[in-house]
Amino acid sequence: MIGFEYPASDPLQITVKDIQNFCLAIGDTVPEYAKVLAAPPTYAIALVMQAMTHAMNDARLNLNYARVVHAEQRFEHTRSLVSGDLITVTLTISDIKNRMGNDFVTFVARISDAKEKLVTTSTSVLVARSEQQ
Amino acid sequence: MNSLTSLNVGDSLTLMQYRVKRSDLIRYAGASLDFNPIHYSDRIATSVGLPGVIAHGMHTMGAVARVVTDHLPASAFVSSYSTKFSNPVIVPDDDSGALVSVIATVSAKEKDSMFFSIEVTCGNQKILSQTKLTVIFK
Repeated sequence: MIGFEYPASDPLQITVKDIQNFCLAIGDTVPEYAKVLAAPPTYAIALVMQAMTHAMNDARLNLNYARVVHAEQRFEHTRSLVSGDLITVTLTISDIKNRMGNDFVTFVARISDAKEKLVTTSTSVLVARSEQQ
Repeated sequence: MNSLTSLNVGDSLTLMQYRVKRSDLIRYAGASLDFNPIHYSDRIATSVGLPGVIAHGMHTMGAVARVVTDHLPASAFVSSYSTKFSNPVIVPDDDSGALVSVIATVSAKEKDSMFFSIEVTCGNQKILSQTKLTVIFK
Protein backbone atom coordinates (compact mmCIF):
# COMPACT_ATOMS: atom_id res chain seq x y z
CA MET A 1 0.00 0.00 0.00
CA ILE A 2 3.00 2.36 0.31
CA GLY A 3 2.72 4.91 -2.49
CA PHE A 4 -0.98 4.17 -2.96
CA GLU A 5 -2.95 7.23 -4.09
CA TYR A 6 -6.67 7.40 -3.46
CA PRO A 7 -8.83 8.95 -6.21
CA ALA A 8 -8.93 12.76 -5.99
CA SER A 9 -11.91 14.20 -4.12
CA ASP A 10 -14.68 16.02 -5.94
CA PRO A 11 -14.08 19.79 -5.95
CA LEU A 12 -15.34 21.32 -2.71
CA GLN A 13 -16.10 24.97 -2.04
CA ILE A 14 -14.98 26.30 1.33
CA THR A 15 -17.67 28.49 2.87
CA VAL A 16 -17.46 31.30 5.42
CA LYS A 17 -19.63 29.14 7.68
CA ASP A 18 -17.20 26.18 7.49
CA ILE A 19 -14.33 28.39 8.59
CA GLN A 20 -16.40 30.12 11.28
CA ASN A 21 -17.43 26.76 12.76
CA PHE A 22 -13.84 25.59 12.79
CA CYS A 23 -12.65 28.84 14.40
CA LEU A 24 -15.29 28.57 17.11
CA ALA A 25 -14.23 24.97 17.79
CA ILE A 26 -10.61 25.97 18.47
CA GLY A 27 -11.54 29.13 20.39
CA ASP A 28 -10.46 31.46 17.61
CA THR A 29 -12.26 34.76 17.43
CA VAL A 30 -14.00 35.45 14.13
CA PRO A 31 -15.95 38.40 12.82
CA GLU A 32 -19.67 37.68 12.99
CA TYR A 33 -20.26 38.97 9.48
CA ALA A 34 -17.51 38.50 6.93
CA LYS A 35 -17.56 38.20 3.18
CA VAL A 36 -14.20 36.43 2.97
CA LEU A 37 -12.41 34.64 5.79
CA ALA A 38 -8.88 33.29 5.89
CA ALA A 39 -8.77 29.85 7.49
CA PRO A 40 -6.60 29.10 10.54
CA PRO A 41 -3.47 27.03 9.75
CA THR A 42 -4.95 23.71 10.91
CA TYR A 43 -8.31 24.11 9.12
CA ALA A 44 -6.93 21.97 6.30
CA ILE A 45 -7.37 18.89 8.47
CA ALA A 46 -11.15 19.24 8.14
CA LEU A 47 -10.69 18.96 4.37
CA VAL A 48 -8.57 15.81 4.54
CA MET A 49 -10.27 14.08 7.49
CA GLN A 50 -13.00 12.38 5.48
CA ALA A 51 -10.49 10.92 3.03
CA MET A 52 -8.21 9.87 5.88
CA THR A 53 -11.04 8.26 7.88
CA HIS A 54 -12.11 6.39 4.78
CA ALA A 55 -8.55 5.18 4.31
CA MET A 56 -8.15 4.15 7.95
CA ASN A 57 -11.24 2.01 7.59
CA ASP A 58 -9.85 0.52 4.38
CA ALA A 59 -9.85 -3.20 5.06
CA ARG A 60 -6.55 -3.55 3.22
CA LEU A 61 -4.82 -1.53 5.98
CA ASN A 62 -6.42 -3.68 8.67
CA LEU A 63 -6.35 -0.99 11.40
CA ASN A 64 -8.59 -0.77 14.46
CA TYR A 65 -10.02 2.76 14.13
CA ALA A 66 -10.74 3.21 17.88
CA ARG A 67 -7.07 2.39 18.56
CA VAL A 68 -5.88 5.08 16.14
CA VAL A 69 -4.31 8.23 17.53
CA HIS A 70 -2.37 11.01 15.88
CA ALA A 71 1.41 10.80 16.31
CA GLU A 72 2.69 13.67 14.16
CA GLN A 73 1.25 16.41 11.96
CA ARG A 74 2.78 18.91 9.59
CA PHE A 75 1.21 21.55 7.36
CA GLU A 76 2.97 23.46 4.61
CA HIS A 77 0.98 26.34 3.11
CA THR A 78 1.81 28.45 0.05
CA ARG A 79 -0.96 30.83 1.22
CA SER A 80 -3.90 30.71 3.63
CA LEU A 81 -6.96 28.79 2.48
CA VAL A 82 -9.85 31.26 2.20
CA SER A 83 -13.60 31.02 1.93
CA GLY A 84 -14.64 30.74 -1.68
CA ASP A 85 -11.70 28.49 -2.54
CA LEU A 86 -12.78 25.57 -4.71
CA ILE A 87 -10.37 22.86 -3.61
CA THR A 88 -9.48 19.30 -4.52
CA VAL A 89 -7.80 16.84 -2.14
CA THR A 90 -5.54 13.97 -3.15
CA LEU A 91 -4.47 11.53 -0.47
CA THR A 92 -1.42 9.26 -0.67
CA ILE A 93 -0.10 6.67 1.75
CA SER A 94 3.57 7.58 1.89
CA ASP A 95 4.76 5.16 4.55
CA ILE A 96 3.65 2.24 6.70
CA LYS A 97 5.75 0.72 9.43
CA ASN A 98 5.38 -1.40 12.51
CA ARG A 99 7.30 -0.44 15.64
CA MET A 100 6.93 -2.51 18.82
CA GLY A 101 3.57 -3.83 17.68
CA ASN A 102 2.20 -0.39 16.78
CA ASP A 103 1.24 0.34 13.17
CA PHE A 104 2.37 3.76 11.91
CA VAL A 105 0.75 5.04 8.72
CA THR A 106 1.87 8.28 7.06
CA PHE A 107 -0.70 10.07 4.90
CA VAL A 108 0.21 12.97 2.63
CA ALA A 109 -2.74 15.06 1.47
CA ARG A 110 -2.35 17.73 -1.16
CA ILE A 111 -4.93 20.48 -1.44
CA SER A 112 -5.07 22.36 -4.73
CA ASP A 113 -7.20 25.31 -5.71
CA ALA A 114 -9.39 25.90 -8.79
CA LYS A 115 -6.29 26.94 -10.77
CA GLU A 116 -4.73 23.58 -9.82
CA LYS A 117 -2.14 25.40 -7.74
CA LEU A 118 -0.94 23.59 -4.63
CA VAL A 119 -2.09 25.48 -1.52
CA THR A 120 -1.49 23.01 1.31
CA THR A 121 0.45 19.84 1.93
CA SER A 122 -0.69 18.02 5.06
CA THR A 123 1.41 15.16 6.40
CA SER A 124 -0.21 13.05 9.12
CA VAL A 125 1.41 10.17 10.97
CA LEU A 126 -1.32 8.07 12.58
CA VAL A 127 -0.66 5.17 14.88
CA ALA A 128 -2.91 2.22 15.57
CA ARG A 129 -1.72 1.25 19.04
CA SER A 130 -0.98 -2.38 19.66
CA GLU A 131 -3.72 -4.48 21.32
CA GLN A 132 -1.19 -5.22 24.10
CA GLN A 133 -1.33 -1.63 25.42
CA MET B 1 -0.08 45.51 14.28
CA ASN B 2 3.69 45.30 14.57
CA SER B 3 4.02 43.73 18.01
CA LEU B 4 5.12 40.39 16.51
CA THR B 5 7.85 41.86 14.33
CA SER B 6 9.19 43.88 17.25
CA LEU B 7 10.09 40.64 19.05
CA ASN B 8 13.65 39.35 18.92
CA VAL B 9 15.08 35.86 18.92
CA GLY B 10 14.65 34.38 22.39
CA ASP B 11 11.66 36.58 23.25
CA SER B 12 8.44 34.86 24.31
CA LEU B 13 4.87 35.85 23.65
CA THR B 14 2.51 36.19 26.61
CA LEU B 15 1.52 32.89 28.20
CA MET B 16 -1.84 31.70 26.88
CA GLN B 17 -4.11 29.38 28.86
CA TYR B 18 -7.39 27.85 27.85
CA ARG B 19 -9.80 25.28 29.20
CA VAL B 20 -11.08 22.39 27.15
CA LYS B 21 -14.32 20.70 28.12
CA ARG B 22 -16.31 17.78 26.73
CA SER B 23 -18.60 20.19 24.89
CA ASP B 24 -15.55 21.67 23.09
CA LEU B 25 -14.69 18.20 21.78
CA ILE B 26 -18.20 17.67 20.45
CA ARG B 27 -17.98 21.01 18.65
CA TYR B 28 -14.53 20.17 17.30
CA ALA B 29 -15.69 16.75 16.07
CA GLY B 30 -18.43 18.43 14.06
CA ALA B 31 -16.21 21.16 12.64
CA SER B 32 -13.29 18.87 11.77
CA LEU B 33 -15.28 15.75 10.79
CA ASP B 34 -13.17 13.66 13.19
CA PHE B 35 -15.76 11.47 14.91
CA ASN B 36 -13.43 8.95 16.53
CA PRO B 37 -15.43 7.81 19.62
CA ILE B 38 -12.37 8.10 21.92
CA HIS B 39 -13.14 11.85 21.87
CA TYR B 40 -16.64 11.50 23.35
CA SER B 41 -17.17 8.03 24.84
CA ASP B 42 -15.48 7.01 28.12
CA ARG B 43 -16.67 3.47 27.49
CA ILE B 44 -14.82 3.18 24.20
CA ALA B 45 -11.81 5.23 25.33
CA THR B 46 -11.20 2.99 28.35
CA SER B 47 -11.87 -0.16 26.30
CA VAL B 48 -8.85 0.69 24.14
CA GLY B 49 -6.61 1.38 27.13
CA LEU B 50 -6.93 5.17 27.42
CA PRO B 51 -7.51 6.76 30.85
CA GLY B 52 -10.75 8.33 29.56
CA VAL B 53 -11.97 10.67 26.85
CA ILE B 54 -9.05 12.58 25.32
CA ALA B 55 -9.01 15.75 23.24
CA HIS B 56 -8.34 15.43 19.52
CA GLY B 57 -4.62 16.06 19.01
CA MET B 58 -5.69 18.36 16.19
CA HIS B 59 -7.92 20.34 18.56
CA THR B 60 -4.86 21.05 20.68
CA MET B 61 -2.70 21.84 17.65
CA GLY B 62 -5.38 24.21 16.34
CA ALA B 63 -6.10 25.92 19.66
CA VAL B 64 -2.46 26.50 20.61
CA ALA B 65 -1.58 28.15 17.27
CA ARG B 66 -3.62 31.12 18.50
CA VAL B 67 -0.71 32.04 20.77
CA VAL B 68 0.89 33.35 17.55
CA THR B 69 -1.98 33.81 15.09
CA ASP B 70 -3.96 36.10 17.44
CA HIS B 71 -1.18 38.63 16.75
CA LEU B 72 -0.90 38.17 12.97
CA PRO B 73 -1.50 41.16 10.73
CA ALA B 74 -3.81 40.48 7.75
CA SER B 75 -0.81 40.57 5.41
CA ALA B 76 0.87 37.58 7.09
CA PHE B 77 0.16 33.87 6.92
CA VAL B 78 1.40 30.66 8.52
CA SER B 79 3.56 28.87 5.94
CA SER B 80 4.56 25.90 8.06
CA TYR B 81 3.27 24.33 11.25
CA SER B 82 4.31 20.98 12.66
CA THR B 83 4.21 19.00 15.88
CA LYS B 84 4.48 15.62 17.53
CA PHE B 85 1.75 14.51 19.91
CA SER B 86 3.50 13.29 23.09
CA ASN B 87 0.71 12.98 25.65
CA PRO B 88 -3.06 13.27 25.35
CA VAL B 89 -5.11 16.00 27.04
CA ILE B 90 -7.46 14.00 29.26
CA VAL B 91 -10.78 15.82 29.41
CA PRO B 92 -12.87 15.08 32.51
CA ASP B 93 -16.67 15.04 32.36
CA ASP B 94 -17.12 18.11 34.58
CA ASP B 95 -17.71 21.87 34.30
CA SER B 96 -14.09 23.01 34.43
CA GLY B 97 -12.43 20.64 31.95
CA ALA B 98 -8.67 20.53 31.45
CA LEU B 99 -6.40 23.58 31.64
CA VAL B 100 -3.80 23.84 28.87
CA SER B 101 -0.85 26.28 29.03
CA VAL B 102 0.89 27.55 25.91
CA ILE B 103 4.04 29.59 25.45
CA ALA B 104 5.70 30.57 22.16
CA THR B 105 9.29 31.73 21.74
CA VAL B 106 10.93 33.33 18.71
CA SER B 107 13.54 30.83 17.51
CA ALA B 108 14.71 32.68 14.40
CA LYS B 109 13.90 35.79 12.42
CA GLU B 110 14.52 36.72 8.79
CA LYS B 111 13.57 39.68 6.65
CA ASP B 112 10.08 38.42 5.74
CA SER B 113 9.57 35.55 8.14
CA MET B 114 9.57 34.58 11.79
CA PHE B 115 10.04 31.15 13.33
CA PHE B 116 8.43 30.17 16.62
CA SER B 117 8.74 27.17 18.89
CA ILE B 118 5.70 26.43 21.03
CA GLU B 119 5.56 24.62 24.39
CA VAL B 120 2.27 23.07 25.47
CA THR B 121 1.59 21.58 28.91
CA CYS B 122 -1.39 20.28 30.86
CA GLY B 123 -0.77 19.79 34.58
CA ASN B 124 2.89 18.78 34.62
CA GLN B 125 2.69 16.84 31.35
CA LYS B 126 4.12 17.94 28.06
CA ILE B 127 1.33 17.57 25.50
CA LEU B 128 3.10 18.48 22.25
CA SER B 129 6.76 18.31 21.34
CA GLN B 130 8.91 19.78 18.57
CA THR B 131 6.13 22.26 17.79
CA LYS B 132 7.32 24.73 15.19
CA LEU B 133 5.39 27.46 13.41
CA THR B 134 6.63 29.76 10.65
CA VAL B 135 5.01 33.05 9.69
CA ILE B 136 5.61 34.80 6.38
CA PHE B 137 4.98 38.53 6.10
CA LYS B 138 4.00 39.51 2.57
